[in-house]
Amino acid sequence: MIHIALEMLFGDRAKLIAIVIGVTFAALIMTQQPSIFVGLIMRTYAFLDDVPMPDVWVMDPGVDYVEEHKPLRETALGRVRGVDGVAWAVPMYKNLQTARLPDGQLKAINLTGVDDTSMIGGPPKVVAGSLGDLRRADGVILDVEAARRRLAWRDAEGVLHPLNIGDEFELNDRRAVVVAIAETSPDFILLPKVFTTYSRALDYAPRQARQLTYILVKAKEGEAPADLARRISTATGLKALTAYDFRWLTIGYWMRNTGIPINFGISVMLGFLVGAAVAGQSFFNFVRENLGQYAALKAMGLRNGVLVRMVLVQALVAGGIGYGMGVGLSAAFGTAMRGTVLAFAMRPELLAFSFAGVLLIVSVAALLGIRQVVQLDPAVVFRS
Amino acid sequence: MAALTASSGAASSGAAATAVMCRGVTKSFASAAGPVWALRGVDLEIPAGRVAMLVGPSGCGKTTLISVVAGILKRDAGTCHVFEADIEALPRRQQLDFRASTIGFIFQQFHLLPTLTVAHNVAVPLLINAVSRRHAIDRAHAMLEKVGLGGRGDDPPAQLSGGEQQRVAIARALVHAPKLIVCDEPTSALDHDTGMRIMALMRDVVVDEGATLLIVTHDNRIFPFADMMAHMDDGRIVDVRLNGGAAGAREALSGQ
Ligand SMILES: Nc1ncnc2c1ncn2[C@@H]1O[C@H](COP(=O)(O)OP(=O)(O)OP(=O)(O)O)[C@@H](O)[C@H]1O
Ligand SMILES: [Mg+2]
Repeated sequence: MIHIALEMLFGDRAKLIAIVIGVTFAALIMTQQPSIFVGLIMRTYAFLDDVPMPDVWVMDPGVDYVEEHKPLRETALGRVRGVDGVAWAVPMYKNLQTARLPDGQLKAINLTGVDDTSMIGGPPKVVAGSLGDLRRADGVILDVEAARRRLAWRDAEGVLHPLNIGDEFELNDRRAVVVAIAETSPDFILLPKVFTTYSRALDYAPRQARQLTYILVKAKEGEAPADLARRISTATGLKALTAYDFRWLTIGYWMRNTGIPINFGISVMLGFLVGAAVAGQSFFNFVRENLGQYAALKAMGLRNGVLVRMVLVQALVAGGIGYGMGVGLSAAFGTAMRGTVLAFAMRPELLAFSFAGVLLIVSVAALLGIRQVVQLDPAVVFRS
Repeated sequence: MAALTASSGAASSGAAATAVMCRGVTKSFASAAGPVWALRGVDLEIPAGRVAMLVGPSGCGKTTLISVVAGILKRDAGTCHVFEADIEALPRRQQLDFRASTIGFIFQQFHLLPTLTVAHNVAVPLLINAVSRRHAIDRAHAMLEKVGLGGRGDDPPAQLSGGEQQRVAIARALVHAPKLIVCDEPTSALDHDTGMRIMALMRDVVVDEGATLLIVTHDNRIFPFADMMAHMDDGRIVDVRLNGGAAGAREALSGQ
């Protein structure tokens, strides 16, 4: 009889399409919106992903997320290096500064100063020039986006000039020479990224902002980063976090302090409700329109248990098709948006999430259908 | 209760079994204005292998009675046996199995599944009886052959005329060789000629299969096909006539 159930389902194209569209819509929204959400959230700690080497990040106790820059005393570096289990510790400068482009335009930029000797903290992938070129006088590295678009300037004729290796601009009225171009992960604040050495970064910074921002620490072989972080924290009174914890601190900050989760939550909820309404209603009607036939089957001695299974299979199959299409469309969307500014990360957990949502829709639809067939009185077959 | 019964008919055919035996069956429906008595004490006996027709004015309880006989409606009181079994007294599972194996149904509205092919529709009672799919479909095609729809097994029901659809329903009612077939107004959705042909077909096939046919009808043009006519009025059987000609012809045929 399961075969018959499927023939009933696939024979009624119009209803099947309506059910599938409902589920597809719900699955699409419930996969795609959270994927964008996760993509955005991942950008909030993108900088940590670009600097994978350190096990522990040390910062001012007041720092709540990756791009919150609070000054540390220079002496902190020595104290951290003195903590047991530290293999190495290097300084990093990070703050927002002002660049003056050749056409006189002022632009806010995100300046990172990396350890002069080890260059730890530099951009992950230099695409033109090299990291070592930072040692040249007034050398800075720009990220590709900044060089091509954000820091491009216009001459008197209105021609756009991207910044190339060898080009100059000013950082807080001091000369900066582009020595390399690098790719970085897109982050959340989307300011042009400029890298230089730690000591030059302090020179660029205005007097009141000449500060150590982070201390990047590598644990000794066999040392658990979490233990080391705790020890550094106790010894120095500073905040010391493993990269993992720093990431979650950042995620927590954005989740708590922005409307982002609520916005996406509303979208997901709407997708779920609209999809559930369309699919549920269509499935309900599909069962309802066949009630005469179901009554005839019951009169002919078909058991409720078999009828329930038939309806379940119909709901599951229609739901399965819709889920596949929804997830497929979401993946196609993600593929189409690859390389654009859109954040999109369709993680396996999200598939489980939308699957659970679709399962809920299917269960509700099936339940509505099952209730109708179980309560159906076979005696109605003789009442036309 | 002055209802006549057909017991004399059963006696005349000697050892022949009794298909339906009802005694004092009552049934009421609740309504806002108090209970509506649809059956007020029905006595009815139908010998096996006959075509019995149930006639009477609208609302007299015909549909209610065949629903009780077929076991899809519970009676209030009285007894009702189909081939010696009291369906209502069986455990629920066996009730369903009994209905599935022993009773065939033909409805006024056909109730064919529109999205199934004709052959698959006919196979349904076999599938309900847990016959394998392939075997069921083979037997469905064979039964369609018998009702003259040999080539139409793979068509959807909607492509068939009303008469053809009712023939599909007949094939479906007979495919699992049930001993009793109940029909409510099987010809009333059909034009006169089609109705007559359907009736002739039903009688032939039923005789062939040795089944008993219980037909509710308003259609007096098909009365000649009956071996037995039970007249109902106001929830009772008020008259039972045996059609000696038809029954006699039958016996003559089966004696050959
Ligand atoms: N489910 C029900 N609920 C309430 N009353 C019912 C129900 N079924 C039948 N009745 C009533 O029982 C009586 C007998 O109905 P039934 O359908 O058996 O008559 P019938 O002889 O088949 O009539 P018709 O020739 O019009 O089909 C009628 O008064 C009808 O209104
Ligand atoms: Mg009726």
